[in-house]
Amino acid sequence: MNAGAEPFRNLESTMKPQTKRPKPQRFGRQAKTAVTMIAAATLLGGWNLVAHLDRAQAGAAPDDGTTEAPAAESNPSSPTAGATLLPLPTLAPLNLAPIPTLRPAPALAGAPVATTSGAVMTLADLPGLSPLPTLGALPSMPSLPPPPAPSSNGGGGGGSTTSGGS
Amino acid sequence: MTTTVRTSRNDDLFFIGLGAAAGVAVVFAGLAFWQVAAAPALTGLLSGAAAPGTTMLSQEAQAMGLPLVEGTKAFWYVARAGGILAYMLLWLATLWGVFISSKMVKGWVDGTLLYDMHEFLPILAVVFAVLHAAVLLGDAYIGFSVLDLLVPFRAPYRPLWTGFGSLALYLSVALIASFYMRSRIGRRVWRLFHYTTYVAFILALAHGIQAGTDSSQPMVMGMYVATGASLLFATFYRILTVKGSRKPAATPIATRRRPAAADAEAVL
Repeated sequence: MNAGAEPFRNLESTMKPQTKRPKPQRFGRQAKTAVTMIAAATLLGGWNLVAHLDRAQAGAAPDDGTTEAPAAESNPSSPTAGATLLPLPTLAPLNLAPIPTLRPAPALAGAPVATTSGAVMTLADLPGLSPLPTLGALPSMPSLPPPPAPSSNGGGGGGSTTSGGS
Repeated sequence: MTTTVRTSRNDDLFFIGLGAAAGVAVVFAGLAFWQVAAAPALTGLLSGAAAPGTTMLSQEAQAMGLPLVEGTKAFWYVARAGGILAYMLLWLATLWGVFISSKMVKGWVDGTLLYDMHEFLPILAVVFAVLHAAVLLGDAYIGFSVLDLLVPFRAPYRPLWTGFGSLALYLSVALIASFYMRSRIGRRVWRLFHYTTYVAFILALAHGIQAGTDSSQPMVMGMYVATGASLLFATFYRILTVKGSRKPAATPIATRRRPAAADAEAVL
């Protein structure tokens, strides 16, 4: 090394590594952008997932009987949010005595069955009802003009003037 | 070297914004591809008929609370998803730090890369945590005000647990700021302060479990249990293995040669 390069000798020794180690990897711009990109995509995916979970929870609410706690969680400002639900008291089982079954009466076993009974009512039994009024005749309708004869040009023959264009 | 690192740090927010925009673009491009090509082809294969792609997309948008009309739940959904994502990023950053300190990943990945990631992930977590809080302002159902979000324990909804979330966010911001002030406050003070990361994580975990709407979901609760348990395991591993085999301080030459890697080792 010549004398002119001597003043830079110390500078070189401090700026350059003495050993031939590989260049340290850095978490560079591309890596930062990529990681943030993944995080943003995860946020959108999470948004979608949370929305579907919320809808599923709301949809399942009427089906089962345990709707109070999830509904309170999804609506945190509701008055029941965070409240502990008190257990409902259970009713004691009812003990009903067996009802005795009726036995057929022996005197009526061979009696003939009447085709008509006194419970059947006829119009003659209801003298208080007034007869229904009779309706008058309907007014006669005016006669309509006869429909036009079908044209021989084809084109579907629709009556509308707007539908048969081309 | 110092200038390069400083510039890189200052660019973090720019690249976070760029990455977020790219992520949204990728999702929309994926949805458009699904709508135009994939869904019709799949449905056509399965049923022999054309798929109503636009119907699917509009149904998804409707389910997500879009468009943003009065009474929409979109803000509430984004706040929930953003909160969980911010928590997971904070967990990843904390776990990453413990991995570095316990030398569990030593030799797998370059030390500088490890350290850079450990420095970047909390910033990303804070960005999503701020989004999580800011989006709540748009939700008219609860009616959070700016003061409710800024002042801990003032929120109308579960004030204690919501306040824990605010404190976790402030502590995370302070921890990130301490990275940049390390030379001023001294390494020893910085290192002691760095242990409050555990406090921030526990506050965020408590906030997520107690104030999170989705913590009643088994999947979400499982995630909280798994993340908490993994960090606990890594911490115990670090305490048990590294304490007895602490090396002497790095030589000045090594420190000068690879400052970031030396910092990474010094963190712990």
